[in-house]
Amino acid sequence: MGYKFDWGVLLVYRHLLWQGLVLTVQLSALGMVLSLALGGVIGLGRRAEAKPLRWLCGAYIEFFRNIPLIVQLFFWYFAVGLEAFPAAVIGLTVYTSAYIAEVIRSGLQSIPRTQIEAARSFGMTPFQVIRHVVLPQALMRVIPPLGVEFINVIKNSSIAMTISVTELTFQTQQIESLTFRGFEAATAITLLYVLLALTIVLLMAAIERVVRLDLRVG
Amino acid sequence: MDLHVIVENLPYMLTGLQMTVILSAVSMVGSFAGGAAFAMLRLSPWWWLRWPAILYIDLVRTVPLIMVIFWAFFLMPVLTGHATTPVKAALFALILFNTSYMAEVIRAGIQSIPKGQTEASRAIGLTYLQAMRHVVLPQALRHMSPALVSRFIALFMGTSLVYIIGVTEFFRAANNVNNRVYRSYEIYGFVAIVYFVCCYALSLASSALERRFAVPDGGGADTRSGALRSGSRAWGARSVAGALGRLTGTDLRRPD
Repeated sequence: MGYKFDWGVLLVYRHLLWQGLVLTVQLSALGMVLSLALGGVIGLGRRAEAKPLRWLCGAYIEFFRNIPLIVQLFFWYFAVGLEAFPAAVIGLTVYTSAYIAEVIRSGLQSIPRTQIEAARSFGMTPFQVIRHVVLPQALMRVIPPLGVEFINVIKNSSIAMTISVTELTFQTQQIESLTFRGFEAATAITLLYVLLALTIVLLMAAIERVVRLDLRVG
Repeated sequence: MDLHVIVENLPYMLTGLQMTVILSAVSMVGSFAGGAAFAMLRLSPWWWLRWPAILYIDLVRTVPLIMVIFWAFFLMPVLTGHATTPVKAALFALILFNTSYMAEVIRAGIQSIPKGQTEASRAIGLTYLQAMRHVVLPQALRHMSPALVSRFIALFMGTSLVYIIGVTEFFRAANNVNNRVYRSYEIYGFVAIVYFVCCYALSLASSALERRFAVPDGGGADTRSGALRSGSRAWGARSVAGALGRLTGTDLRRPD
């Protein structure tokens, strides 16, 4: 192996690493919040009374889950003609929300209808049923798979580099092309992705603890 | 709308689609072998085999596929001293990446067979390998089959990312056409529809398999409602060691 390592380039180009990290975090955070909101609505729609609405939400989920994200990003960027960052946010959101909708749906579905009927027949109001019966159980079931989705948002945000969003993976190439030090750059950036994933793991564990205490379950 | 460009360039794009199918099929076979090996390592009674396997499986799954592709294409030559072709690098990256997911699918499949069955087979005189071959694996494969199809879908979609290192699979072929004729709406719309049709058909097959091989004894309303099923799909197996493993494992059909 005739390769001489030069980790110094990371220090020299740390501003590029930092820029990339900031953009990755921004993109992922936006993606998470928006796709949680959109996915929540669509997941609820999957459980709606009206059949057309259920079907429509199902179609949305199947459609956007079965097209590679890179194709969707190219569509928003080149065909629709959005700016790179908005195109990335929209693409990421639409794609992820399909997965999150499924998470929400299966969380809701895990509560047998009979429980809700029983609670109603005790004289609880619909709101009380949601607050004391549905939510505590559904939340606990939804938090771990949501963590998986959030990590996937971070990983998927890397695809935005293909439409010229200068996030972390883009900077790998940038540093490589400036210095031919692709190995060092890729190592650093891979580690940053692992750290970001770990952050989500810790965050979700903390949220799970808070919810458990707050709802007095488990 | 000008569907003419699609019809005209269809043969070219279909050769791309052929490459996509080949890439996904070869990496499926490769990562099945790799995944089986890592699943065995992970289930091994010796910690010095188990821990490296866990580390590999959980680490690879926190890294984006694009990064793995970069590693394979730009960095392997640095380490090994000779250049690779894009197709080889693509296969290497896809197998490396998908092996970690397959390992979890296969492990969950093996663990879905009650230990008592292995013990019983051993008690009637089968060797460990015979027990695996005749008792555990035939059943495990059946349990795994929906997840295997899902992994194939994920691979099929994932191959679109090797576009960045210059492999002319379906997505890159379509891009080449678009760069020439500049008809983004038609071409990316067409690409989206083709991917959708292929993947959706496969996912219907996956749920058909799931129904066919549904575990008959788990009978409660919850199991059939799909809640537990998709729940456990999102979790991987429940016994995944540690929080990282728990949270990164796994909707088994993700391309990323």
